[in-house]
Amino acid sequence: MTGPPFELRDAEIQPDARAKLTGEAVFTDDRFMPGVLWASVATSPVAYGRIESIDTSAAAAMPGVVMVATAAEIGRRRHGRRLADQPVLCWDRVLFIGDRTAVVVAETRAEAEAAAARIAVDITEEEPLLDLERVTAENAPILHPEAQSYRYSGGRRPEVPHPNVQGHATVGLGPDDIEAVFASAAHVFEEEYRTPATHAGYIEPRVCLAWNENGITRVATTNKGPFRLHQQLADTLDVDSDRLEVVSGHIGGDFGGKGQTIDEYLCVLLARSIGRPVKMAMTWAAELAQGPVRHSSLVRLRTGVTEDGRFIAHSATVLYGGGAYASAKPVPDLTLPGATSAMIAYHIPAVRIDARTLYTNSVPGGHVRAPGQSQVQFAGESHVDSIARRLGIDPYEIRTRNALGPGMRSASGLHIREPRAVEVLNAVRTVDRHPPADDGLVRGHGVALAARHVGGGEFPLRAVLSPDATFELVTGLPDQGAGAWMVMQRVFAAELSVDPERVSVRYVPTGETRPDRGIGSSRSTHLGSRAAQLLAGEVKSWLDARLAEGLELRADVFVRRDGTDSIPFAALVTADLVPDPVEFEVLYREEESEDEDHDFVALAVDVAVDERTGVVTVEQATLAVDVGAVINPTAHRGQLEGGFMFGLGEALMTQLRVRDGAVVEADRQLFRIPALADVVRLTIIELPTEVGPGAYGAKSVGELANPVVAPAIANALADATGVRVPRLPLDPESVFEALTARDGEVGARGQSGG
Amino acid sequence: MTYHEAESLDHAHHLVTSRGARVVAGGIEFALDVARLRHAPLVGVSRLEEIRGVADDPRTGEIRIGAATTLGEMVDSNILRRSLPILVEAARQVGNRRIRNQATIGGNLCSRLRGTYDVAPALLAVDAVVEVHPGKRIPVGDFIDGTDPNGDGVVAWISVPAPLAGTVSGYEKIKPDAAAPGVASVGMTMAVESSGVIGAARVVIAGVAAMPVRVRTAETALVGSEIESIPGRYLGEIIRSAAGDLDMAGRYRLEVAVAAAERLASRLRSVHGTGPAS
Repeated sequence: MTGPPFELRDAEIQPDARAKLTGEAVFTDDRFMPGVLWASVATSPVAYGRIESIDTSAAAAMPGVVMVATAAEIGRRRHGRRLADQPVLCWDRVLFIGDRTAVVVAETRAEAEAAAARIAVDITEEEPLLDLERVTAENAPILHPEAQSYRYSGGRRPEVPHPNVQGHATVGLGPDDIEAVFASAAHVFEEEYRTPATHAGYIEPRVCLAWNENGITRVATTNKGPFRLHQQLADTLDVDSDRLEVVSGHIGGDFGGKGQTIDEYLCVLLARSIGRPVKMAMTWAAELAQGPVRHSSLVRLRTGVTEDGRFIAHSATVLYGGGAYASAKPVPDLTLPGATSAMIAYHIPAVRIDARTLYTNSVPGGHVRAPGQSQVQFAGESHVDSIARRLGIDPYEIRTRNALGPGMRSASGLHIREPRAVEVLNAVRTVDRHPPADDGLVRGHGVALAARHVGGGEFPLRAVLSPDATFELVTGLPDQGAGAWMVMQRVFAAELSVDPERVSVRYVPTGETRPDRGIGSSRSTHLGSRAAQLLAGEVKSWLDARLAEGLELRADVFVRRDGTDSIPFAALVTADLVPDPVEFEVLYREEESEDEDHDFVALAVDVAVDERTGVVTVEQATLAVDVGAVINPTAHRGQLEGGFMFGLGEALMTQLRVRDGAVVEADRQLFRIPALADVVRLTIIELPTEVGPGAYGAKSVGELANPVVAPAIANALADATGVRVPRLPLDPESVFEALTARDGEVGARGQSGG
Repeated sequence: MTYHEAESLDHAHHLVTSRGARVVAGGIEFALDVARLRHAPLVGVSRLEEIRGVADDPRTGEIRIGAATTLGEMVDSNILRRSLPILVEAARQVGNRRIRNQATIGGNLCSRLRGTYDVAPALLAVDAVVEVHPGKRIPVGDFIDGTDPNGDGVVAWISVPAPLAGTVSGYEKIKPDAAAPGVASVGMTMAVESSGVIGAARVVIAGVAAMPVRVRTAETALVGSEIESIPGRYLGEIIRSAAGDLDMAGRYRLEVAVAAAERLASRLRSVHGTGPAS
């Protein structure tokens, strides 16, 4: 393989940039239809209880109301991306504050919402299960006693150790008797870290609109996996798959959260039963309260270390707060993709990891940018740093000594192709520190190291060559703004050596093309680029067969192989050569391999801490990334910068606190994400390679930067103050409390800032 | 929803009393709470020239700020920069530049969360009076504490006694990130005599209770002291000891207010040292 063609090094123009800038791009909420009705749901105000009765009479009498329905009318139906455990509407019990009990359809949104507020549900409250450590206790209530009967797509649901465990993943490396290895260690360090639930924080809420057309129910959605949603709708609603069509397209922000949407089940049912279009849109408060949210976590790590700082044994217990339903989890074992990756960048000979997602009476957990990984990376990279400080070893040195090298197995159990841990560490290690200032603040430096998998699988792609010498790529993959369409367009154009402006991308609904798995799991660049490459190969073979005169395509011009003549692409590809549009289609399938592809990443930050107020400010940051080959330079950089800011938010401010089962932040004034004015000076060091699974060695980037930010900042905070805060976010009050605990009293810290 | 563009203060007042209209200026509060506020008729006052701008009135010895003056205009006002830097520093804490170019001082004072937005505490520290058309003058402390901003008048002007020569003032807020509401803040004015002795002082802290509060014990302690010799920590101790009486919530917010007060006192000491503030 060689590097990317020259034209890919130029900054790209997004195929949909013009539509978005001019407002022509249609987002789901922009869709209106004559006669559209609005639906709104009634939700449980209690975290756990038995439904005694549901009285819909007052709601039905409200103005504008067309229909009120409960599970008695729509049937006892459950949905889920893998395990169908979440009721479309509850019938016998409610399992979290926000669980749906009834739906109202009315002529306007305001009427639907007003009537939904009049649904009276009589619930006998029970003691909710909220504490992760109590979930599998002997007296804990079993939240899903009939789990055996739930639909599970794709084979048999793996066994779980307890009915309140949603999913279970383990890693076991080294000798059977790991305790003997711990016993031989010079030091054993044991720590516990916690992270809160958070929300992806996209701007466009989840919206859907369903309508009937020619015997088919179509649903427009903000879901980024339309084919999967299509299948789930068919399975959950007992509707023939041919009678459904899902259309996505432009998505107004995702950050991992748009793989799960749930209003579609009601919308489709109601549109079919009433015969008019039905629309639903989540409010911002409902987004925060009903999720899915990032899983909270409790991570216990134990590491045996030699006198010179080598890790010889490691065990981890990872508990994720899964909330009331596992429905948002697509992974077959119903855990999270990053669950076992706390120490992924290191080689440790003896390892035991036990990771569980747990049922609780709280908002359901789902996917948010680097799901599962960002929680354990905070724990793992804080832990490594803490060990270094306690042994008096430089934090870079301890990481280098234990870093995963070629031929070694990672502590997460994987063989990783071309592990570049030491390279990324060295790249950030040599950067000049931020200069100190005489301003009363204390300063510190911190580093974190991680690796992130590159997703794979298979991917279909179609191209249509028209007599006007343009190509149209046809895909059912939505673009949530990260640039998947651009990847396909640019690689396809580069491979054919034609101007990218000749290549447009057309998104089509589920009924018009072969299924793909949607955007997610850091796979789109890999799959889209390779499918485009394959497809361009098909087109080239076809052209070669027709141009037997020895022409080859170079920079939008056909050149005779002996160099004697050249013909513009558009002059040759005309109605003579292509009288009718010609279609090409490929299905790219990733090759099976023993080795996994990962990106390595290291982040170094310099922070200033105001010990009087607990405010932590990042003064500079340097990110070194193993980027593979870059296809969309601008979008690629945007993903790294955006990922960094996303991580900064989760490090310092973003959280959904759940108290007695209720999300405290379910209000726009309380949920915090960074603003533009919080942007930090970030230097990015790109380390290219051709060893990536995508075209020219391309890897993934979207979920690479965010997991290392919180641990790097926590480590810098520890460097500055000597205080380790073992939970997120590192908001001023938490830092203040930790400093107060260090000093033993309030107000002991000297005057500063003057 | 009906919207009337006010032609004059009297016109706005007429619509308020006869039609139950709500006054809207920059529209920030309206945008944040449109679901609740859209039901009443609205009367817009932001284009009323008669209540825009900052004026120094030597006859009355007052600096008057029109209610429809934007916070951005306050930040840029030479009169305020020279005489009442506390108001410039407080206005600068609200939102971002785009918000400040839209938000007005009158609207800010009438907003539901007016006690925590920075204009009110700063105005309390400069002894401001709210002029409500027609013909009422309400001390700002009473205005934010009790007056219904949707009562039968229209907020027209905010008047501040022109500070004595040698007065220094400032506003210090601690907030963890750009869009955070802020933890706590302090506004302070000190009239310093030529001898360097503090002749009068007002200290207001916000964020530790529902409404901004004057810390009178701190003011008493400052008066009669030499500005060059105020020990920062002493001020903090006074605020801490006043906390019980003031029913302040949470030791964290209190400690942040103490830090802000100490820093502000230190900053004002150096402002005084580097030259006259007026």
